Formats: sequence, C-alpha cells, structure tokens
Amino acid sequence: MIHIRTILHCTDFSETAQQAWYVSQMLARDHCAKLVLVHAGESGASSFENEATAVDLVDSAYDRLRSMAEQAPELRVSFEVTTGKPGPAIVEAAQKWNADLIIMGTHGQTGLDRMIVGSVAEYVVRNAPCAVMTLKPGSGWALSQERSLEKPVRNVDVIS
Amino acid sequence: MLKFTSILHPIDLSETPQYSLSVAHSLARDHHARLILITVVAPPPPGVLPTEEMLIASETLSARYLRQAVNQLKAIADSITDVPVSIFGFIGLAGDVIIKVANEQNVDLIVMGTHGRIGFSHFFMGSIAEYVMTRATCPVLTIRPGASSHLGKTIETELVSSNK
Repeated sequence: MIHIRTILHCTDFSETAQQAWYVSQMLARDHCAKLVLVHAGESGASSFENEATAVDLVDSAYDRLRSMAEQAPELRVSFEVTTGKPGPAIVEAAQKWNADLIIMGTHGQTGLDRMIVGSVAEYVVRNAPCAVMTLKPGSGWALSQERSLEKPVRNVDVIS
Repeated sequence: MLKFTSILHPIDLSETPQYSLSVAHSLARDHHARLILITVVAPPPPGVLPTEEMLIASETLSARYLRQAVNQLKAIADSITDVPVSIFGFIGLAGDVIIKVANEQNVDLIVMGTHGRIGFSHFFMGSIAEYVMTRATCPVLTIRPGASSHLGKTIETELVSSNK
C-alpha cells in the first residue's frame, strides 16, 4: 500500500487551488499524513515602497494560510510563505519538508493564466523530488463532492 | 475518504523498474479500483513518405509495433492478479489518445511517469505529461523516476515481494 506521510499543498488562493485543497485534506485524512501549506508568492521588491508592500503581502498570505489550517483542526498542518520564483521555491519546500506528494491546481489552458501558473506546475512536475498531483479547475471539485456523499468504505489503515 | 474507482496509466514500456506502474498498481489496490493500462504507437508521419508503397509499409510497421506493445501489456496485465486490469493499444498521438480514453472510460485519476517514452511513440513522456495535465478533467499524478521518497521505497519493497 502507498504510504503518504507528508503532503505539500501549494496554493495561490485561487478557486482552482481551493478545489485542490479539498483533495489534499481528504488524502491527508486517509493517510494520516501531515499537511504543509505553501504559498509561493513572487515578491518584486525592488524599491523601498515595494519592500514594505512585499512584507504586507507575506503577512496577509500567512493569515490566509492560518485560516485555511483552522478549517482542518483534526489534521496536522504546517504552513510556509516563500518568496522568489514560485517553481524553484515549491521544489525547495518539498525537499525541506521531505514531502511524499505535492498537490497543486493548474489553470488549464486559458491564455495568461496558463503562462503563469501552468509554467509553475510544469517546472514542479519536471523538478519535484516526489510525486506531483495536478488538478485542473473542476476535476478535484467533482471528485470531492461525489466522495463526500459516500460513507467510508473501510477504516483508515494503521500506518506501521 | 477519497476514492478512485478507475485509474488510467499510460505505460512506459522502457521504464525499469516500473516505478510509475507500481504506484498506479498500489493505488488501484488501495482503492479497489480498476487499472486501465494504455500504450500508444505513433502513426506514420503525414506527407513525408514519397510513395504509396512506403506509406503502406510504414503503416504495417506501426501495426506491428502496436502488436508488440500490446503483447507486452498483456504480459504485464497477467502479472497483476489483485486488481481488475483493462488494456488498450492505439495508433495515434499519445496526448490526444490519453485524454480521449480518460474521458471515455470516465477515469478518476491518471498516473504517469515524466520520463521515458510511451509505447513506441516518438514523444517523450515529459511533454505528454504536460499536455495531459493541462487538459485532463481528472487529477493527474506525475512521478519522476529517481524521485526518492518514502512512496518510492515502499513501492520497491512491494515489487520485490510481489515477484515471489
């Protein structure tokens, strides 16, 4: 059986990432895994004013991650806000936290979104030290809605 | 709990040991899911073959490759006894075929490697994986070979024990 001990959930706080968050929570529950929430914010701090804004952004990202973590009080959740290029930052975080699985949303093929988020997902898929699960808008949603109606088929396996 | 009822795995027949296959297999076992294995052979390139004879020869070659690949798939499917396995072989463009089968078979998850080739295709898995993850209507799990993790270690042990 597959053992997932640590799941790294990447979020940009978009609707797509939010859908993937349900899948991350469910998988974490199924595997009694630890969840690490990562927001890879790209800070463009080049001047003083920008630096102040960047600090604000990081603070508000931490707040949002904290409130996400509070949604799942039964799970062990850590969170981190990274700065710098999102792709390498996510890969680095996966190494640091010794993740077994990275879960992230992709925006599919919609112009600029794909240029930005798609390329992050592609970078992560190519360079991740572990397995990567990508979810397009809608795909995780269908899965989680359908599943939430079901009763658990069997008990959670005891991790040896 | 999250439950996958069918898992699609575009197989990389050149991959040894077959890490991504064993992840797909383990997941199918954990979730009592059906495992769908597919292989895709590239069609003859259009417009570059000068004569009709050569085109026919090339089509025959594709068909022969497909037969070989399907035979390999059959052998793999026969070695998996604990989950229901379906196999499919196609001549076509790997990315398109994977999306088509995923939709038709209504799969819940696609598991694929990011290296190697699929079947006897000209296409490398990495670019196919990227194509698939932007178009699939289900989650896509990609696995790099050598992505050393607890996941991988478990799988390796399992492979050894299931060979006995």
